[in-house]
Amino acid sequence: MPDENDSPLTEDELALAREGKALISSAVADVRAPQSLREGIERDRERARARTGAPFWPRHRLGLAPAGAAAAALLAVVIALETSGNTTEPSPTKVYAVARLDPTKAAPRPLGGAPPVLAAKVDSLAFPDWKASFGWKAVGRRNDTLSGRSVTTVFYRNPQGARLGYAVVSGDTLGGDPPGRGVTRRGKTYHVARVREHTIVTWNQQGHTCAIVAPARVPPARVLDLAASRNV
Amino acid sequence: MVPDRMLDPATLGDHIDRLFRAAWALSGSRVEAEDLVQETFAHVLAKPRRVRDADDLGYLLQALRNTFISSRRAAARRPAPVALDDSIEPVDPRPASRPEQAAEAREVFAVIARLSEPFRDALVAVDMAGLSYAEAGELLGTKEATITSRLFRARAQVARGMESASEGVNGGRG
Repeated sequence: MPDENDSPLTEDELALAREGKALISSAVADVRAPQSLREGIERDRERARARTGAPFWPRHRLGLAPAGAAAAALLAVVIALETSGNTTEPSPTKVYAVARLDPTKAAPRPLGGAPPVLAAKVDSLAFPDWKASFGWKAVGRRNDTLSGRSVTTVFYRNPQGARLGYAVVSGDTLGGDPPGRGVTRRGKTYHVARVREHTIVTWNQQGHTCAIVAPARVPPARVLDLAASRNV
Repeated sequence: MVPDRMLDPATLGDHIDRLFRAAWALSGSRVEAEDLVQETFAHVLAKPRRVRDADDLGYLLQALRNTFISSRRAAARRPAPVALDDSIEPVDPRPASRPEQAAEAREVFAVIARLSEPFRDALVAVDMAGLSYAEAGELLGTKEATITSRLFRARAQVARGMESASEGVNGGRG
């Protein structure tokens, strides 16, 4: 059967193809994978290397006696649970995306305290009540699971009607530097990113990755103030 | 004939840039590309893999295409996408960052992503991933001559698409 594209290219088409190739080459030359992606993959590779270095795979390929095979199968499940369950972790962009979604639950109630907190927390890290000190009132929350990690987001709204999402990822902090410029406040580093529609601040708090995603009309310094208010 | 061998995780890191470019061209989104490549590597590295190809890149590119197709199917079942738009790209600050070139690169990738599948796949395999025409033909299950034809037509369509985009921008300003 003749190919649908067997007709020869005209001179004009060939010229266009050369132009297109030049455009593509120029675009490709500037594109590198982000550092956060490299580091995420490197962690996956280290885990894979650790697995292939273990004696399980060669034994598995050679075949085992039934009892041994059953034990090996159980071991495989354990290995899978221990190593494959978290072979990946959510990228920062996924966390930011969740923090931009709408709430699915009512706002957590204020619990008071000094500094005041809300009735929502990830492990021992409670979400702050920013109403009195900053004017940002909690208006909702949501819980999501990204790459096996639960992400809790509390949404706040200020008197001008701007709404931000404050997301906390369960488990260990995500690897790699988050996108944005590193800014130090009270000895802690916050990564501040300004994009067309959003201001994003990412940092580590009590062993968890935290991110605030606010509308761009909220100045980055104000978002940073909110994030740094946790470091007291 | 190349004998079967085990995929070596230690060598896969050499292909991240190529996979990332291919993923961006497939999806049209830098943000989605990052997720696609991360998921592809996580899947490939989840267990030992036996491969026939002499080069791991073909295997990885096939895995990337499968991940992309699966993600598109899953997205079609979901009510709405949640990905951030590509305006997040400038948050990766590089000293040599050139905003105009970066914007043009984004548009080139967006145009490629809008090509029909046979043309896009040929272009992604050769111009993004760097496969030879023969390797691309094997990967995509078609003749080398067909790859050549599709590749040239795809490049021409990219040039036309960029001209249209440029006219659209200039027209909008006028």
